[in-house]
Amino acid sequence: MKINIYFPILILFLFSACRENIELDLNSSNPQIVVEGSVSVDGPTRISITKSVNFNDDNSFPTVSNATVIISDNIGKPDTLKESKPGIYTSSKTVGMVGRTYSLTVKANDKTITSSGTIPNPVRFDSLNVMEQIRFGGGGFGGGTTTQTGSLYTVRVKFNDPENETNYYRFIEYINSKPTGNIYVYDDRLNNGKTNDKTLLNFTRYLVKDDTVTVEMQCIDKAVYEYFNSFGNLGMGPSSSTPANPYTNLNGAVLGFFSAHTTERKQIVIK
Amino acid sequence: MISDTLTGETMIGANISIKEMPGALASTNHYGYYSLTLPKGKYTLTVGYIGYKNSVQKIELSENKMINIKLEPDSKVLTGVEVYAQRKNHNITSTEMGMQKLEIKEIAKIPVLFGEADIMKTLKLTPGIKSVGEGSGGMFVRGGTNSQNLILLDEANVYNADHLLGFFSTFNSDAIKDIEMYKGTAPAEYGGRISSVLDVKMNEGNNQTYHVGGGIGLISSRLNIEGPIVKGKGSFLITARRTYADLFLKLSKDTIINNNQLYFYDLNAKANYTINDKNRIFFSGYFGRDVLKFQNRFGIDWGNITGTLRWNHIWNEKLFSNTALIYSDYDYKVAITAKTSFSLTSVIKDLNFKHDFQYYINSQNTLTFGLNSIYHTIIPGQLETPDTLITPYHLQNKLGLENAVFVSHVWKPTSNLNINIGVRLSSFSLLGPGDFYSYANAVVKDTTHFNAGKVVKTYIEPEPRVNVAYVFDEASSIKASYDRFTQYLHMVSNSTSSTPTDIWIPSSNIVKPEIGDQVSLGYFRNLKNNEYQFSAEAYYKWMQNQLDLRNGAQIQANEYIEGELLFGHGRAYGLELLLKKKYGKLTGWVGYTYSKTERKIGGINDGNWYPARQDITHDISVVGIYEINKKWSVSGTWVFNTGNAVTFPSGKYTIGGKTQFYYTERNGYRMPDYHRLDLGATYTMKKTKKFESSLNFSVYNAYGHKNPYSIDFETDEKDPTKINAVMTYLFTFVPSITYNFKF
Repeated sequence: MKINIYFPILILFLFSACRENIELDLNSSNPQIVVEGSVSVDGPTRISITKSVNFNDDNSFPTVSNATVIISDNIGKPDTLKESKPGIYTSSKTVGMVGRTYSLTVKANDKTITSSGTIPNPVRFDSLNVMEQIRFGGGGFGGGTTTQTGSLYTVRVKFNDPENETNYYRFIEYINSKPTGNIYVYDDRLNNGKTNDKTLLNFTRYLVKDDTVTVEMQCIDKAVYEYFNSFGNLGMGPSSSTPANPYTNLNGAVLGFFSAHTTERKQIVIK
Repeated sequence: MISDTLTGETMIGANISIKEMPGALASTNHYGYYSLTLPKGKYTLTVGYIGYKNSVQKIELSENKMINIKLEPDSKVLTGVEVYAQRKNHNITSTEMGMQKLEIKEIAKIPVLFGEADIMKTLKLTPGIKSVGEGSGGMFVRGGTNSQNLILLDEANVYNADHLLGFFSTFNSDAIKDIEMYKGTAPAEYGGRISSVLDVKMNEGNNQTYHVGGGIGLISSRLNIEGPIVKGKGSFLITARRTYADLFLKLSKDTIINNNQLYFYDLNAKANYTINDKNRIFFSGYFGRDVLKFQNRFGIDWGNITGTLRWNHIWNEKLFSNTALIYSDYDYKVAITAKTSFSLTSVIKDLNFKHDFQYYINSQNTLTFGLNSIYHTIIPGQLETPDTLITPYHLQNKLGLENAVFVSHVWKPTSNLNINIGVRLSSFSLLGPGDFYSYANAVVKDTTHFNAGKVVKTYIEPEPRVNVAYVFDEASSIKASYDRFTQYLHMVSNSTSSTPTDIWIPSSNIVKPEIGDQVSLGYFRNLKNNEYQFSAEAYYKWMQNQLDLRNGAQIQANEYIEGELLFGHGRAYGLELLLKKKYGKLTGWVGYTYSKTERKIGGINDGNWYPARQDITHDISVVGIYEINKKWSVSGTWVFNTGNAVTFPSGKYTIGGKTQFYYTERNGYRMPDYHRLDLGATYTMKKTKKFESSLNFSVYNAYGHKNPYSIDFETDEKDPTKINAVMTYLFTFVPSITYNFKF
């Protein structure tokens, strides 16, 4: 459980802050290779390779083609992935097995990037529920856009944490099949062996009537938890922490991650 | 002892001189006492203090004598008609440097946000003391962090000096008598923080007659009562404040808004009693609490409690002692009532014994020595819940014993040379019971158990201090200093500014004491018969064993918090210029600071030096107060500073379908320049012996400059391929009015 106290938000509400766009002269940066990879129990194995762009460029990220991508585990033969779409390398041969360790090797642009991860024991995804969200001013508490009207909703997930091991969880939320990109990772530091009931707060768009919400639950290893956890928090005001790149579990690259995990999905339509 | 005729209030820093012996000078100490050694004979003794008529007395010395003098307030001095001539060049002759002294009368006239006079805000208008933007608490002295300031209220440590998330300070100026701020140059009797010492002394209360005073403002009100316990022998003072900004929220029909609460109240009380000529006792206390409630779902309340019991004793005409028993406590409680309910409580409390002596050997030598012992109890976090879904969690309490012995010697070898040389020998022992850990890559490697009373780890650090002043003449001097400070308690915070949920941790087997060394050099010059005071001071500072946190570090309710820490060091340097006009119809100052502060922490910025968040290169402040006539006075302040260091992205990439930011160097960017003009006016409606009342008007940010509170990066709502930089700003043009009275 993470206890975050968002003072800046409270200040902003209480003192009716104003906002406007400003021009900033940001430095350019060398394009960095970004690797996003996963091996899961329900396959297929998928590695995507893209590049970073300068801040003032459009949000279109160049893909990296013709890379050599190899996945191997501690038992079977190495599996060389095929580029199925530009920058996306897949294989249906490698399907993740609980307890096995998978290694990734990527050779692209004269660079070698490696990583590895072990699939932890699965924990059952018990339920996915909808609850109504409190509206604060125009948007919801913690963000949301101000243009949404009608009732706002968020979803809650429930699972029973096993007592005899240290577990890490990641949830991915899709609204109408589109990933929200919100980061939800949890450890069991404060509620080991208990029933967990977590609210997946939205920071970009709240859920409204007729939305189809799909939530994927993953049991992940510590390194992947660290990666997502270190993405940091809300970057607002002098009382927020200084932002930084997250701790990657890749060697040879600074951006991205490789995750070996379990997968279980649930879907709900908001009525 | 020197005191005020009307109120009986003792005076700190009143000057005593002898007409027949120009070299024989003394000034009163923190408790109003003085000592002067002279050969037998007849003398003319003159006592002076700002805002009071000089007292001139003929004395005949044939034996040791105790001479108590009462000074009469002089209303004319404030209007600048009378120029008095005693030791107004104290700033030139004393060894004090890197030091700010503020007078409450001055502070009351300076315009501030919401019209509440505030010593912390006024201090931030002087060189070398900075804030990082509006709406954030804390102060940053000569490149240090907020937690490196020792803030004392009647000798008791105040752990969190902010109310309302930094919009007010814990100090009610009705209760304050004297403020001294040392920017890393404090004498040996002070210790425990490496950046600065803010020593705040409370008023004692009128020991002649009863008075009631107060103020009514737009968002807060104050009330104070003072009077004699036994006329001429003892007095008391009680002051109280309450804000009611949240009452405006109640006016809203929207239940989402009118269900919120945000207020603070505080209470200062002090009593003193003079037992006889040689013994005086004091009791003072502070109690303050902030309450913030959000929708009956989320609540946090926090506050300080301090108490000081002090005994002043005169052993003989040369030896004075002060013995104090001090308690201080800071705690916060977060309560969440939602699907899962829980509360999190954290406490830090100190029991502090201080015993010091002042020995006035002769007019060339004064010795201050003593000891100080503090027993710290830190309750880092207790998670309580009625909910079976969460395990109640009690982090181990941390116990520590901080001891110090100190001696400092004020020595005037020649009439041109003033030296204050001292040393503080401090120690800290972390005590059991508990489990103590060692870490490898943020994971616990070994656990060692210690029983109650067993010492886990002890540090002993000598802290030498020397300040030297060479006085060229009545109006100019140069000063130099070297000072070392050690800090055994460390604040762990996700943020730069102070928040109510800051966590304190003691030095341990993992965390070494922070050590700060500072050298400084200053030139002091007074002009036009001390009407103008100019100073230029330069400093260089080294800071060892500085702390930072890993990304995403969990600091609340974390038993293994030490595993989340990163260690390194810091350096800072700067130049501070100050021109002050002390007397006349127009008073005020112009200050300029050039400064740099950097850190080098393993695991941040690839282990290279980077600017600290509070690094502000240029800083200008202008303060002016003009007395038009007996009824009206006006004031204005203007501040300008270049932006503090900040981390902005230099690139972007995509993860999981969402655009993320790529950061290259830590704090490689600057916030936009900050500037603001505040105006104030005070109208004295009535002023008689029986009743005084005045109205204070102020405008904060008079020309409405939009100063950024924060800059965020957000996807454009219309064009999702673009990301905009969005600035949030808080206050443009905030008028306020306060009615003050006293009878």
